[in-house]
Amino acid sequence: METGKYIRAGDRTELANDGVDRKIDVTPFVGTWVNTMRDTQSFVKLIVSDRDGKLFVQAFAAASPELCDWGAVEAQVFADRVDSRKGAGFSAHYNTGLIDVAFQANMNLGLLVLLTFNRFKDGSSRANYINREFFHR
Amino acid sequence: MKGAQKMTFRDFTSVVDYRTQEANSGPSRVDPSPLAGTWVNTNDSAPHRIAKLVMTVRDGVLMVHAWGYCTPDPCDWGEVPAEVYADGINSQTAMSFTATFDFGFMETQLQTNLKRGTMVIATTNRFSDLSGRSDYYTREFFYQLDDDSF
Repeated sequence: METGKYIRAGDRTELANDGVDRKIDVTPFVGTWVNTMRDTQSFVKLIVSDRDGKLFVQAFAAASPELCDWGAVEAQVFADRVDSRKGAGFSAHYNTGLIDVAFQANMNLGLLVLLTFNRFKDGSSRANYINREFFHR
Repeated sequence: MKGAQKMTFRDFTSVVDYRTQEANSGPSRVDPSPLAGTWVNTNDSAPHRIAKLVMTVRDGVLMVHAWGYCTPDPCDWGEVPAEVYADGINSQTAMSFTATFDFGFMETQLQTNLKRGTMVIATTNRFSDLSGRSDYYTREFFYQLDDDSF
């Protein structure tokens, strides 16, 4: 790369070298989020929490008789610009050994939009696939 | 016993992931060719935008070459291999990819999906250079050119 310390014009360092604290605000994401599809066979519920300024996600998948608790993982939080602290999205990652699931989430009109990227590692011929779902508080 | 049951469930994220007879053995093969071509951002004013992507299939692997918006010339991000995804476990057609560009001072991950002919690309951008810039997220839309003119 011969492009210096940015790879897009909007990333230029001088946009954010004003000494302002840019700890990203995670509060827009915190809460219990429920899938808008009541009969979903995928993730039913997400509990998103703030632990000492770090964001954690706990996902619950459809299962019977009880939901399947995937446990809590730390998420990475993203603002909407290099000079912003407004939380715009987060990512998280589950690795069960059999399947890798990457979460990509963003807020839209009060909904949490979740894309999951699912990669199988178990030698079955199941195709890696994505899924998109919507959650309300 | 309850823990063992949970591990079994973690073999899938959805009931639609159950291993079916036809998806029980052999390598997974998702055809990346529907994603190949030149894709251009629909928004030519956003300063954080990716200007263009050129995607090719090489030895069955989707390769992604990206250019960021910079002036006077686009910033060439180089080319990286991508992971492709279908829309279900029994599908063979790619409708999504992920790719990671590591620039040393920052890492940009592309996570995409194809919707009605539009490529929706979300990027997560993480800085490691202590420059004070916030890690940030973008969501952009791309249309496919008939050829690679730009």
